Formats: sequence, C-alpha cells, structure tokens
Amino acid sequence: MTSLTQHLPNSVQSRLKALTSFALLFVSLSCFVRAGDGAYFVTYSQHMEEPGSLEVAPSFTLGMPRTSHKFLANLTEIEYGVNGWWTTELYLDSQKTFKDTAVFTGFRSEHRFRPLVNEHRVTPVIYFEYSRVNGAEKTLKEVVGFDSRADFDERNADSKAETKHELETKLILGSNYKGWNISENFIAEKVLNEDEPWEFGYAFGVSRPLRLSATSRECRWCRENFVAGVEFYGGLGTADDFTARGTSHYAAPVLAWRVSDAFSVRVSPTFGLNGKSIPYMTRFGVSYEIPRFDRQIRNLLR
Amino acid sequence: MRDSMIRPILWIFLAVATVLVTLQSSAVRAHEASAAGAQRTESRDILSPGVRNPSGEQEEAVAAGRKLYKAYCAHCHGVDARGRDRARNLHAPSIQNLEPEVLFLMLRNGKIRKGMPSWSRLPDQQLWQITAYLKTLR
Repeated sequence: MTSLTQHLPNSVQSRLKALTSFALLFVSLSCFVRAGDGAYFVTYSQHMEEPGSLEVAPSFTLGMPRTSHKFLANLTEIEYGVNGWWTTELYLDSQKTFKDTAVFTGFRSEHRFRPLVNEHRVTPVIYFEYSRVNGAEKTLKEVVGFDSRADFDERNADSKAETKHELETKLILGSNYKGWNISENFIAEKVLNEDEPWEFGYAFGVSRPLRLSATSRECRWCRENFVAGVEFYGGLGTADDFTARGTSHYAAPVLAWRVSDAFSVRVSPTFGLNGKSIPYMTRFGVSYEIPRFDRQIRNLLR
Repeated sequence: MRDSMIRPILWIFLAVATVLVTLQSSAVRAHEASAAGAQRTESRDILSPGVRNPSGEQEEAVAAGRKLYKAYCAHCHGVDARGRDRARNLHAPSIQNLEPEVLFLMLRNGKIRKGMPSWSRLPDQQLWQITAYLKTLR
C-alpha cells in the first residue's frame, strides 16, 4: 500500500490513510456490534438501551423548503445504557445548506429514566435534555412552539451567531399491543438564556414488525427484520399561547431494516402537513450497537 | 420565576404524578394477577390472551429461539448460556424449574434492578420462542 501511494501528493495520501483507518474501524466495530431496533426518528418509545451497551447512530435529514435552499443536516447519536432504568445520550448536530456553508450547530446531552420496574399497558419514561445549539440547527429532532419553515430562511453566517442553551423535558408513554408499538411524547422546552416562555410539542408513533415470530434460519430479507410504521409530530405553541395553529406539523412513514446482527438502517419520507411546515424531507440513518461495551473496555484495560 | 414558567411546570408535574399513581396501582394489580397465574401449571396462555405458546411447534420454535438467543442474550449469558459476571447460568435448576410463563414474564419485564433489561421491544411470539429454547437447556 505504501509503495503504491508514495508517488501521490501528501494531501491525497493523508486522505487515503484516514479512509483506511475509518474502514478498519468500521470493520472491527462490525465484528461485535448488534443492530439497534428502533424505527422512529423523532418519537421516543419506552424501550431503553440495554445496560452496558453503546449505540452509535448517525442520521441525516435532507430538507427541501421551497422558500430557501435545500439542506442536509446530520445528527450523530451516541447512546449508552447506564443500567436498566437509565439511558444517557450525546448528540452532535451539524448541517450543510446548499449554496451556503457547512456548520457544526451544537450538541445535546440527554438522560432517560424509567420510573417503573415492570412493563405495563402504558409504560412511562421521563426525559431530560440540555442542549447548546445555534440558530443554524436544522436537524428537526423535535418541533416545539411556533417552529416553522421561515426559521430556515436565514443564511448560516447570520443564524449561527445566535446560541441557545435549552432545557427540554419529555413525558414518554409507550405501549406494546399484539406486536404494535404505540408511543406518545409530550414535550416542554425552555430557552435558558433568553426571556422566552416554555414551548410545547408532541410526537406520536405507531410501528410493527412485518412478521411477529422469527424464522429458524439466518436470513437478511425475512419480514421479521423489517419494522414499518408512521410518526406524527409538531408544535403546540407556548405557555402564553397554547395552540396547534401557526406552527408546523409533519407526518412521516418509517421503515427500519435490521440488515444483520451488525447494523440496521432506517428511512423516512416526511411530509409537511400545513403551510408552516417544510413540504418534504427525507430522513435516513444507520445504527450500530456494541453490546456490553463496558465489558469490552474493561477487558481492554486489563 | 415568572407565572408563565410556573404554570406549565406545575401542570407537567401534576400530569406525571397522575400517570404514575394510576400506573403504579394497575401495576400492583397486574403483579398480583401474574404471580397467581404463574402458579397455575396447566394453562399456558394465561398471560397474553391471543399469544400462543409455541410448544405445539417445538422444533421450529426452539430453532428460532436459539437464533434469537444468539442475537440478544448471548452477549451477557454466554453462547453456552452458562452465565458470565452478574448474568445467571441459564442451565441452573433455579431457572429450569420455572414455568414457561414465568420465564416469558422475566424476559418481557427484565430484572431491571439486577441488570437484566426488559425485552419488551421483541414481539411476544419471539419471547415465547426464546422461552422454548431456554427450556431445552435443562
């Protein structure tokens, strides 16, 4: 490899090295990862990360607002199961707007707690998130307040100057019924560094594997490896004006495919339901889960 | 703190408290019902009406359960199911003497305080398949 690349310019050589390192990392991770199982992009279900497991899930949103340039936003999720009732996550946000710049838009740190020990008809999960994101953020991880597509009209250079420290809370309610997962999220968000009222939003999702029982043979295209569903989400105004009008709402079919024990992919064409919404977006993502990451780190350090 | 901030916080806490109290009381009832049900050794479909214990198609269920075990359980309990660290040996009599319904419930609910996660994300049919496999380890 070295002899083949030594005649190449230094910049190309360093890129090749980076690509090779990434490929090696990918292959080595694939040896002991397990696919994540969630289908939703916005809605949270009651399911927690398994204790000691680490999930890395980059996802992308390609948005097509008619009043401004297209954008591709990235949300990279690193999720760790601290124990059976506590899951913690770190999100890194960035975006590239066509005919504009690419910017890192901030990070989020979230914690999910499951207060009840057993599964019930409706299982609650309490969610807290602190985020430090700038105004150029376009991942639409949730919709709250009076979020609308007009927020995407500003150029990155202007919008990224505004930084928000936000506290977000969610009440997540999830049920499993005859193979269906039904999840509802009630969102309350407060911008901590500005004198703004609490903002509210909702997310609702329904999904089901295409086949409920597993086949005995190893297979990639079995229906049991696919989960299909739909999610709805949108804003509910603020504490001063609690309303579903004047804010954006979306409907999004979702399809997840557990490609192998190594990873899964998800895709979701998303449709704006009113004039305040971005008319069309496509979301897609992959997720890698490393089971018992804690044990693997311990073994490495021994 | 402004009134506009206090009101929604109060409403959220009130809503959460109401939901938790309601669920907790139904949880106690469900727990009592399942504990009583687990002692009934003959009835196999008492926990989830409409969910069929796959013992009737044992070979297929066991093979599927083995595949699911490898995907979801082997990381903690080991490929041989002999247990590791805090994960229990699934060949042990204390596990093998349990009724299938109790094993099924353990998979669905987990033992969250002891580190065993809930596998409710899997459909009941797949949990029954894992149960069928686990019962072959005796």
